[in-house]
Amino acid sequence: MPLFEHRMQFAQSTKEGKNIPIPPAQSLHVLGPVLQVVVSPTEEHIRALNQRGELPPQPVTGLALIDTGATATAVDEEVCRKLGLKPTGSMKTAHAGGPEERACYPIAISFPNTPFPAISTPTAMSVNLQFGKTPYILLFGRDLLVRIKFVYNGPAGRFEMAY
Amino acid sequence: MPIQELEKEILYFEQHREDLLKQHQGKFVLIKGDQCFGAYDTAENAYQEGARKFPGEAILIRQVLQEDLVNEMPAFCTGLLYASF
Repeated sequence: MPLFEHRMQFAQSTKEGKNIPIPPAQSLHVLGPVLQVVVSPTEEHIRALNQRGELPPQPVTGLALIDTGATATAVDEEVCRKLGLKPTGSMKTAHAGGPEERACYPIAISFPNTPFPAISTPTAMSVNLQFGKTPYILLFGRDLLVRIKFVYNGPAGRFEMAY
Repeated sequence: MPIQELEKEILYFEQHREDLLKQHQGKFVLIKGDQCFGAYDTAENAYQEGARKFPGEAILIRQVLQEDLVNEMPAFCTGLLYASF
């Protein structure tokens, strides 16, 4: 089972352009368990594009947050538009203003600089994840975490994934 | 709106939910247009078949339940995801 251990190591920039490292425990507290992922169309979709003589779109690289509070994985809606994905369904999500129905899309997720193979889900829910200070492209929900052993080490500012 | 691409399929599912429950409760059905193309044990299996039959097209994959599941994402839905100090 490949194991990936990630020690949070972020820095804050000063007005003078200096980078001040933030301790790992504080990095993990402020940013949460985040890692770089690449979101792309599934193999099935790429095959369909090849059959039509179309080039597959450029995959999108960005930050994913491991969100143990989310029932299902969510992907940024702009990423779905850039990849030209076709919906596979819809899902209701609970909002402060009431339930909202959102489209779902099939995506493949790969993990650069880790020993993990790519995984895919046929029904990632699309939402706008780009409105905060830290723009995510993916929230890793429990539908995918069901395949992963995840350890959160707060004092060490580190998390581990085995899959 | 992307879900408009699946308006026909979602309508078909709602109209036939009771019948689908009798035969395929808990399974994932594959629907295209106004036709059901089978029930599968997992969403992945339904998707693979749907991608094979309808390459590059919108398809509906839905689990047959009495009531649809709601995706709970409390950090996102309450705005806590972007809370700062």
